[in-house]
Amino acid sequence: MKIYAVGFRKRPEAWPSEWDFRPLPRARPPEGPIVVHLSALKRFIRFAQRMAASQASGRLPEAVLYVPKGKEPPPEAAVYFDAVVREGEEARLAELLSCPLRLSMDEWVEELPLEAVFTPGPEPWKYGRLPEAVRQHLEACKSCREAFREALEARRRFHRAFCPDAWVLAAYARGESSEEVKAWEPHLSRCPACRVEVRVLQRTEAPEPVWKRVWEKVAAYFGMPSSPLPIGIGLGDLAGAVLRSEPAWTMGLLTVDALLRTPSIRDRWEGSEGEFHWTVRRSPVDEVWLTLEAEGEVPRKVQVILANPAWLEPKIWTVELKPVRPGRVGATLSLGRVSHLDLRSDTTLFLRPEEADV
Amino acid sequence: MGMIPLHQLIQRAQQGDEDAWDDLYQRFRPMIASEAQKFARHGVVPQDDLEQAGRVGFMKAVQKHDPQRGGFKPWARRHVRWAMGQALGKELCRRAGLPASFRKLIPRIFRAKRELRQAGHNPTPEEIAEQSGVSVDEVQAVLRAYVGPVGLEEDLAEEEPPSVEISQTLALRLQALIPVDLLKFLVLAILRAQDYDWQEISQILQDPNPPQEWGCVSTWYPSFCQVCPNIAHWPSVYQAFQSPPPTLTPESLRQFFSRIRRHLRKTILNSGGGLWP
Repeated sequence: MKIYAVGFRKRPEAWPSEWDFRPLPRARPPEGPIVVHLSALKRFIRFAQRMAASQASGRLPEAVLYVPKGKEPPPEAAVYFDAVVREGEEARLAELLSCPLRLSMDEWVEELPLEAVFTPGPEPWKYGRLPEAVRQHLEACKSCREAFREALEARRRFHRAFCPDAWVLAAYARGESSEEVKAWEPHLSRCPACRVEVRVLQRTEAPEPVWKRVWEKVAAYFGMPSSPLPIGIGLGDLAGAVLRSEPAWTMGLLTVDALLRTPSIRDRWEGSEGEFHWTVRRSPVDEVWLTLEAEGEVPRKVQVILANPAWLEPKIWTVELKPVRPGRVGATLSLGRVSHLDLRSDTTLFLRPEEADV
Repeated sequence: MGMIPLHQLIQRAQQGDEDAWDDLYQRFRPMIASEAQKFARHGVVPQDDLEQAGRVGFMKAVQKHDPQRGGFKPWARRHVRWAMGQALGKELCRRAGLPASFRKLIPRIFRAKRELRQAGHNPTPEEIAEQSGVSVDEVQAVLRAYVGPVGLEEDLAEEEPPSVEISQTLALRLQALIPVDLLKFLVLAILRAQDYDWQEISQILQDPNPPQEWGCVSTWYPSFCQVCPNIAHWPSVYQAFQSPPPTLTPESLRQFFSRIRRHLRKTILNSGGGLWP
């Protein structure tokens, strides 16, 4: 690697003899980093501006400012230099010059998408638009890996200074549409850290689902683990989540209000293998009937579970689904009279396939 | 498997680890609930709503915690109590038909009432108004809205935890930059926070018209506007990027931004979870 030195009257004694410094070329851009003595600052800035203006990229040359004892670096140093090294910090200078790419690690970190910045794996440089050569270099160069990780951490922390306050997140999580929330929407939709916090707030802010206690009871009755319980999602989502982890589906919420308001509740549940259609009806003599129909590869024997937290145990019926029309199986079941069912707002109906069918 | 140390959990949550957030909430849920219970005794805001406010306060505490500035538990409690106090004050103002900003004056009224009572008699609204410096009508409205137990002023007077100002160290380091560089750097940081790539930023900066979000800059980043008042003024921003060294190509913008951030890195890395005090 070529290293250039500017403004040094004589070679500092502490510099190792193997460091081969060259004078700065006048006409062409330098091919390596430049170490600039503070005394040559203005000269170097003119040179850097000339170099930047002559290149299509507008880039300034890579450079390190060397500050003698008792002096302070000027404010311009932040823009014109990649690093400032004080007299006596030869070890740091050696580290900075140890690898031609080390000085550019902060810039490569900028090429990572925000997602990778906030959920970095053990090798974060594998994401984003980093050139293949840089990736390979990072695999091999420990010094650059350290610089990269440190720059990544700095980027992450600095980014958070521009994220909205928790109050804005909470308002957004609650679905409020005030001017302030609207103004933050572009950021909230893009920032992974804010998105995580909004999700966490949505989960913790959501009222406890009415079926939670019912589900715990049903799970305990069948000896199934009741957690992890999906939090703050609708009933339909619960069915999906439960299906993935446990052999049971929520059928829906059967409430007194709903039954009194309308003589029937109907819905359907669609799974990957098939779909269920169900209807709960109240007959003119106040008897509650469940009609189930299913198509596709669904279990043929199911348990229908009616539960509410006040009961010691759920009411269970085993139902065999029989062909009712081409491609469809079904069954009808009486759940009993409304007056005997002790229906409450949290009474829930679950459907559970027989073990043999699972 | 043992419990994960608190500082590690906080660090992970600050980095966006959802499981860490959940774990933290579980650990601090009893504290939030117990504080909500204390605030609920005033009978103004239901406990559930207070817990909700407390959770937001807690989130703020996690976001802004810096281990170098003390333990997390008192810090979190202070945030939670302050958030609940805000909810309580807002509701009292609503009941009294006063603007929400009036909540800052409510503790004064109750403090005056207590002091006058300690002096030996039941004070009239006029006396409280005189003692507290608040108008008689406002005193009457607040006294009508709140008839709960004593001690409201302590719960409302919880000092706001520092959260809206950038740290003094960072402000000083930013101000040490040349003003035009400071302006350029903060503008790039704001645009990066919107996740624009360097190509897009380069195009935005070549347009004399501001991008859509620029109208909100002073609302979003009051402390940065304090350090650099020109940020919100797009013609100044546009002008600044015309100055040498050339900083309008995507590559030179990235280089410029990375260099200044590296210059500030020590401050940034020492700042715990954010750049806040």
